[in-house]
Amino acid sequence: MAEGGEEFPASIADAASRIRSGALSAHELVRAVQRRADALDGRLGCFVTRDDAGALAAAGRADRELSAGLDRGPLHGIPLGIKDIIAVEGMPTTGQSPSMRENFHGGRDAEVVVRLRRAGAIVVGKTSTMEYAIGMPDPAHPFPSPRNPYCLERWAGGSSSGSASGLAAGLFLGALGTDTGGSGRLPAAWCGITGLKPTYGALPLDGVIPLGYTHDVVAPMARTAADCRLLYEAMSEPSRLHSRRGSSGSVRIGVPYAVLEELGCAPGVMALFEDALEVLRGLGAQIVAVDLKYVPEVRAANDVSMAVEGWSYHGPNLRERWEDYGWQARAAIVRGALTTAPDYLQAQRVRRVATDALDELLGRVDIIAAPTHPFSPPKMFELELLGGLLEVNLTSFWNSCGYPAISLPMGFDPDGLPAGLHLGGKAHAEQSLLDIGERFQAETAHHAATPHLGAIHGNS
Amino acid sequence: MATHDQSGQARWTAAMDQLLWLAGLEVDAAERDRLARTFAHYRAGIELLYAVEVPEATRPYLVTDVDASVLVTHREPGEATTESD
Repeated sequence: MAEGGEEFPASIADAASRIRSGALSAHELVRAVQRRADALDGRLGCFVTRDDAGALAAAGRADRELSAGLDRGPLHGIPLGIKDIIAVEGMPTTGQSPSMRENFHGGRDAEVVVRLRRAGAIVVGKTSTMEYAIGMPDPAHPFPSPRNPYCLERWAGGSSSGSASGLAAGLFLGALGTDTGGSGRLPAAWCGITGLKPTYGALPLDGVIPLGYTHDVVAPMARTAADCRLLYEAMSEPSRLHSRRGSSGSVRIGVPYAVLEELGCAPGVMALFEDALEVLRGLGAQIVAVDLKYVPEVRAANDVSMAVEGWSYHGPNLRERWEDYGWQARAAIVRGALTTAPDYLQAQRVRRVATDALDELLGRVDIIAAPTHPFSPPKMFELELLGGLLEVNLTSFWNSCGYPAISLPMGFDPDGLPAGLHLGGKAHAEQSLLDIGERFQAETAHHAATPHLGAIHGNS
Repeated sequence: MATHDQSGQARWTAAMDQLLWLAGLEVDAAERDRLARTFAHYRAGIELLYAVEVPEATRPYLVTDVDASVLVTHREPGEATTESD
């Protein structure tokens, strides 16, 4: 750290420990992340808005509370980045679109932000995304295009890009994204951090710009699974939290090899995935091949649902401000207006059939494992390529069924680009997924890797 | 689905015009044609949905189904089962 001459905290848990030992203050920590943002964000494009003064004031309050004996828990004094489709008081919510109306959510905090602040967390800024979480990086827009911290020419993934890239670069220690088809897990994988997609409905959505009403979830993101758990638990209703299962070595993990072959996984990504499975075997997990059905059909159902539900929200604004939406966003959303009601219902019936099949499969295995994405991050602004890459995902399957999933760092491909291990489970199995994530990260060091972004004055 | 023959293309263009008009959208011909190309790809996904063998009695997926499943997993030992669970 700048003041203490120690290294930048490796995790929320690490920072919380140092804050309690007196080795670090919340004020010092917030100043440190601000200096890192000063030095790096011009290249990374992670922030849409920063509130340096507000964050320092909050850090001062956090330190005074601790001095007075008020400890709000492990998030007390921890700096967070919040995706810019989630409302934060004192900072505009832009949705990264010129078409966004002002004063979204009355300028108040989204409920998840209320809960994080109650737990002592400090919001340092709003993080970049793609327009309304559905567009693509667009250099014509007056917003930053978030870069991959492991290769600035490459995409950070989307749409919670700024949250993932900023976590990897140490611009904050925890972050919120959202996940409608993989928007939290994909950037987590491509930036080498951890991202949780909770069960649909597990976390409140008020104060979050909708995209797909029946898919959207708020996604906790951090360097480690343990940190994601801290964020998840702080935002959850206590009555909805499950006790840990204390997963033993008897976990049965299914791998849909036929689907992975059909997707054409890159050899470098597949090799990392096989290594990750070996780690899980070493932890006592039993790995079996499974037949995951309806993957392309569910991807289509996700596409139809998101388009129709997106149109339901954006339609009136889109009619009035067509040109203020970027091409990618308006083309994606307007498809919903051109879809018939029977088509939408057929999508929901296919979701039911696929969910029933998944339930049957999850009666035989506990977890389904796959690479989070079959390929490594592409170069920025190759828009057709980006669109094509999003069509070969497995992540949206879990949004369509509403079930939880997690992306864990599983290493780097031969080009030095990060890849993610994706684990999906039954409804409300977040704690089990986090347990396995913690055990995996106790055996690996992928989550501890940091990108080489050059020296930062005053920081290690 | 869009076809590559000229009459098919003309019908597709006319359909796009009608759909956009019904949606209350006014776009120029170039934008309409660009949207039509995107939409044709999207329609192929919809066709995929109709190729699934969906049992006749299958109800649509409801988000409340997954949300309500928390009641089942949270039930305390001995707690009564209700129809709504």
